[in-house]
Amino acid sequence: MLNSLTLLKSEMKRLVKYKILTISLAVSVLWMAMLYLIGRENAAGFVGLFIALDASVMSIIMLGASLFFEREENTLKPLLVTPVSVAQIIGVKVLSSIYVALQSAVLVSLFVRFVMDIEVQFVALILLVALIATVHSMIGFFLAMTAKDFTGLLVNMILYTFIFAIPSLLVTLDVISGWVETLLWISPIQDALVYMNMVFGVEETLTFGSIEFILSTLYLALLSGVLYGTFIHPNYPGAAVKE
Amino acid sequence: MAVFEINDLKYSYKKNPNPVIKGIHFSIQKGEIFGLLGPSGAGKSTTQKILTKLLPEYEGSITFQGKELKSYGADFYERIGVGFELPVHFNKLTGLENMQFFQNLYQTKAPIEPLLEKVGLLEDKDKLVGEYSKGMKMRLNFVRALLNEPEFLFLDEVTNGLDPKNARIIKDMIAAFRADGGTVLLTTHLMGDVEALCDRVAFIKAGEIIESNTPKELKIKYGERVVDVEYVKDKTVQKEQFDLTGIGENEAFVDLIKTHEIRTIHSGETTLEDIFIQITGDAYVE
Repeated sequence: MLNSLTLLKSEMKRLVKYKILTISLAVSVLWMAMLYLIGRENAAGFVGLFIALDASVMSIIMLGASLFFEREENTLKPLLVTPVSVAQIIGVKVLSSIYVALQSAVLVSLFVRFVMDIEVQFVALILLVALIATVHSMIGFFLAMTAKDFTGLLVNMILYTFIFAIPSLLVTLDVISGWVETLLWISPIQDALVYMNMVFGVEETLTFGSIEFILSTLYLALLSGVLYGTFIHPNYPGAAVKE
Repeated sequence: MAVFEINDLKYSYKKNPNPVIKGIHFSIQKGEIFGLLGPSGAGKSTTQKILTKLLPEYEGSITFQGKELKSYGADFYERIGVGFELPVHFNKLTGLENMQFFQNLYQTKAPIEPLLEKVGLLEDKDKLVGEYSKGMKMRLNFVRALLNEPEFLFLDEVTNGLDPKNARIIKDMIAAFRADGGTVLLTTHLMGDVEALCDRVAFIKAGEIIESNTPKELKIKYGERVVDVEYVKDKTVQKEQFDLTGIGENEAFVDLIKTHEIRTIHSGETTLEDIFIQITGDAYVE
């Protein structure tokens, strides 16, 4: 426990030193400026999209880039010969990813709540962004650990985004519907989008406590657990010592 | 007493069925510096990774302090220090911040600044590691290995990239570590380090240990039992070789050193460099 806190403190310090928090803050400011320009009437429809993308795609980028830069600096291997477990190392990376996603989500939500007078369910926002960031951190680990190099990671990320984000966008624009829309529930990006629309009162078909909501939440939790248990935890030491 | 006892150790990487370690046996005694030597790709680093539990799926038996290595948890890492071959630091943190980061993960904590002072990095402790030279990073690597006051040190090419003065400082610190009761596994191909530090060495080639002994015994075993004498005769330097056995009773030798100006006398003892080439069959590159 003490080691987890030490690791977390150090990870946060690294986020500051490597300017990850500053970049995340700059992206939040960009979202806020765009929402302001879109105007109050349409902003509610977009704020969920921005936060969903931030918590999902940004979590993947952050995890993947962090793993590659640390491998380049050879700092993954020495941690494995300290009294810190692999679970602690992975857990702390996921926590820091959640922190970055929450910082952005809360800032943008405070902006739309108090500047643009849009209703926000803050407790749901925090819990659901944490879930979205967790599952996408696991996906980030998976994509980074299966990539040979940084270019490979970028290709993996583009493929993931293409496969899962484009259909969501097409459904949002009513270009496709029916069974494809139903099938999209397996897409974590689609789930993130629907969750955020609920948080900002845009989604009307799904409500908290509904069976669909519970099933989708269980699905994301299970997906995180399966990725962690079957791939990330067993393969992390091998990936970390690879030179 | 053996700190590490390795018996019939075998290892194959998942993607390559051919074993890289082929049933090796050796032990490391408490208070000694044990050198594991061999050409690139011989299995030195793999052996070290296995002993530091980075590669857990090995065959055979390894005991640490009498207990199976596989039975150790995080407490194993409280007792060992690892000095890697390449720099292992966060470039955007200072030298001191890097050391504090790693040290905070251990229960036992050695004072950091005296260690930095010993390796000549105290004045640069607040510089970003990204601004350090390779030699400075290697010295910081060594300090990192000592942060938890370990009883056993794994050192991989520890003086790689250091100038002779800083290499000497590190070697003196390793010798002091041994003098304080510490044990060291030194993995290297730098025979100068081996000559200066190792109590015993093992040569590994293609995953097998093909020779193991003290450096002195190896030199005797692989050297020639002869004495080469250079002396002055008729204003020119001449050479003569004598059998080392019974040299005290060798009248020609005794007469030569009595009646001529001797320039040099050398026994036919070989160097570890020559032994390395002879044993491994590979050219030695320093």
